[in-house]
Amino acid sequence: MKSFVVKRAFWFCVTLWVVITISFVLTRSVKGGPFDEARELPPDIKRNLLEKYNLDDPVLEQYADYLAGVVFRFDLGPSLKMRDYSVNEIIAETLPRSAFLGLLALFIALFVGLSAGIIAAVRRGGAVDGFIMTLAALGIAIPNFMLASVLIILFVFVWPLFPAAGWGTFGHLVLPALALGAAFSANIARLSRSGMLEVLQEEYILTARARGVRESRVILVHALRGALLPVVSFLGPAAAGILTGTLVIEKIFAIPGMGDFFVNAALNRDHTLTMGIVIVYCIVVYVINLLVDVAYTLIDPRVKL
Amino acid sequence: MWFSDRLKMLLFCFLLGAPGVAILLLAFSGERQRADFTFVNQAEITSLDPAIATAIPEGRIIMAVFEGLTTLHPRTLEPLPGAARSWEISDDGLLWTFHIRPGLRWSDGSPLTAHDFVYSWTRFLEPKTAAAYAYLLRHVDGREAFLAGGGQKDLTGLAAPDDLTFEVRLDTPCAYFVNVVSFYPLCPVSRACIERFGPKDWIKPENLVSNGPFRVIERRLKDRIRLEKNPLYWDRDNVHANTIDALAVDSPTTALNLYLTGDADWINFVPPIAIPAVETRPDFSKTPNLGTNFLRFNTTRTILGDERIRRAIHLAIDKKELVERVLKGGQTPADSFVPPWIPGYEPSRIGIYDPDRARRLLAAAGFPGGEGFPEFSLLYSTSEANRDLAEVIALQLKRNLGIRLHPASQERKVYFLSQNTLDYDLCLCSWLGDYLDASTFLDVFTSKSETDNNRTGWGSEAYDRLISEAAAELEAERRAALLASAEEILLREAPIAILYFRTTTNLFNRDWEGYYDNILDIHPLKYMRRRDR
Repeated sequence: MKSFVVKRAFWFCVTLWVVITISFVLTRSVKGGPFDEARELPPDIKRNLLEKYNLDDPVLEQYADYLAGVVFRFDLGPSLKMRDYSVNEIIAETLPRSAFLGLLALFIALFVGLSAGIIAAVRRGGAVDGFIMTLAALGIAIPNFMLASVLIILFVFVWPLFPAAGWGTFGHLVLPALALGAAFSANIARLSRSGMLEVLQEEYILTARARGVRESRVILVHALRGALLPVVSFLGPAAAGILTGTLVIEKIFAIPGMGDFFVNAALNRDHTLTMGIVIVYCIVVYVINLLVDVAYTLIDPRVKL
Repeated sequence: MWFSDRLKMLLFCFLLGAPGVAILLLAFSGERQRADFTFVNQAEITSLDPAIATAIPEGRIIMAVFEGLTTLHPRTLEPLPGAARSWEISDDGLLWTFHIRPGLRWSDGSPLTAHDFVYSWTRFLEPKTAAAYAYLLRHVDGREAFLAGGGQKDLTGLAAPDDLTFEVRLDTPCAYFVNVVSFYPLCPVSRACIERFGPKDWIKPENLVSNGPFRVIERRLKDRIRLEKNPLYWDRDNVHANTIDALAVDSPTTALNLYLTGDADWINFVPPIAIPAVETRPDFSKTPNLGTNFLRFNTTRTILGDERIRRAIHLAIDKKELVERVLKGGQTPADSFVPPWIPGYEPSRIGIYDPDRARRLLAAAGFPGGEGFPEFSLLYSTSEANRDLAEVIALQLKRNLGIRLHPASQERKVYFLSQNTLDYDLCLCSWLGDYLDASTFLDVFTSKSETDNNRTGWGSEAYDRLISEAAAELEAERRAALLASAEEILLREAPIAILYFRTTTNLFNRDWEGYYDNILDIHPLKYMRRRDR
């Protein structure tokens, strides 16, 4: 376990360094700079701006400065576009909101997906199974922005239950979390159904039944464990997908999260913000994968770290 | 495996329970009280610093939080006394004297004097401020020496002989200077505040000291800026909203949803696809805007250097079709570069659409029927609307002139770079006026301007001369005539093909008043007032 953590930490540092380096090279090599605008800035003003943000230094020096800032001071630099904020401030303010939305979506995905999957597996071949699996296929096929529009029409205009957009109350969260979590719950339903079906064939289930264990206990205790395995391994990519999915949902529901910056920072050539967000995403995905690995050992006693 | 079963149970409960607890917390954290007046301010603003901000959403907030020497009348856009009670110009047009209103105070209670304007304008011009709009003060006397001295020397053109007198000396007369002065970048900022909190932190809501009708009490990134009535503002009796929320909402559709569900009282842009649905509502308004869309020609490309070809292309584009079939936002086909709504200025006009004449011009230039005409690209900044426009323009030119144009999209920043470096053939562009004067348009195409926005490679000595003569001319009618002659040259030599005048669309809750249609689409928040029932 200890060597596992050390090894993971080492590879984490290497990954982060590679990601920083690649994104640094990419941000500096695209055409167009942060201060190319519809109104051309007078040359001396542009020079002052580049100087202010050290963008006129040799590229290697900029790279060294940036790396030093990140490593020694956790300082991701000033934002080139949101001029009243530093990248640290932007991330500190917006990441918790995105994370909150993402967690909620994940929670919905797990809850709905697992329940549906288990029910479908138990009623295999029946009408309920057919219905759930059709719904799941639809859920996977319909993109989240489409679902978001349908939800808005239904629950904002036709039946005004929730606010159209914004942030601040529980009501603001319901539709975006549903739209974001739906596709993942569909995936989880399919995975847990097939996992469950496989486990239900196992001999130890037969043994449990033969010993007179109640059917509900067989399903929810003995079989659920096995059904969870494929779901847990799906959580890694699911979390990454939800992270990137937030950018569309955040735009539609005007949620002041970090997702939108993922695209716009790059379009604005806000190099520091772009890189800061790439670093954050990198860390988040890494940590989630780590958690998934640990969770695996909890569920499946055969797996050892 | 060293996790006990109990621990596993605990972890499991935590995984499922944590979001639940968080939701409960949020549910009971209580809803913030809705502001008196809420509006959608489009994108998150770049900065609250008047010297740094450049775009319209920033301007709306800054004009509510700060107040310059003059302000704009919400309907006529005439300059009104602001921090200055009155002003006068010397006979030679070089010395502007502004009489500061006595008894003005900053929001922290300290007095606001003419010295604050000397400080603010000097800071605005300082190289290290890097103000994008610094050229607005290009005529201030002694600016060159000030910049050459790296901002160390005093700016000789600005003076405060006493607390209530602010003098601006120009090196050339500038008839529209009073219009420039009301523009938000020239609002005063508090020296004490900047020096106390430093250049980075003074702008935070908890530190910010300002002098406008409102002050910022909360700023949540990408969510909202909350303004509250400033009790120390001189004209507080005429400020009627106690709190105002400016929402940062990028998506026009989302903004529309917020308005339709009553969560916003004013939105500044209605998506064109929704216009037919709201067009007949009394709260909808469609107004001409001080902006023109046009094509730039890169006149350094051999063939496009020929004036006849440029004019042929201009005349072969059916603007009516573009406006009515493609844009559908109420725009009007343009017959001048300067929109015709500037008081006291009669623009020069040009034919809008004449395919026969276009064909003759092209034939005269050596390409009858488009034979042998090389294929050029038509550059546009990536967006669906621009793509449709470019495709239809290409079709029209094929139909009317037999020439092929290849629409090419570039991502926004690359597109600007291509324009600046003249790395394009033709490109789809627009220009928005900053203040109510034809020079805000015509200055663009001088061959050597301080802000190099020309981007066509075109230049005309006669044009440049007329523009500089007009700048120095104080008599309004003669000045307008000089500008109109310059515009005539621009239209005749056609480094640009003008397409249409822009419009703005607003939805404004009729429970409120204080919104007036105007061509700058400026609606100062100071005047927003709940209608008496």
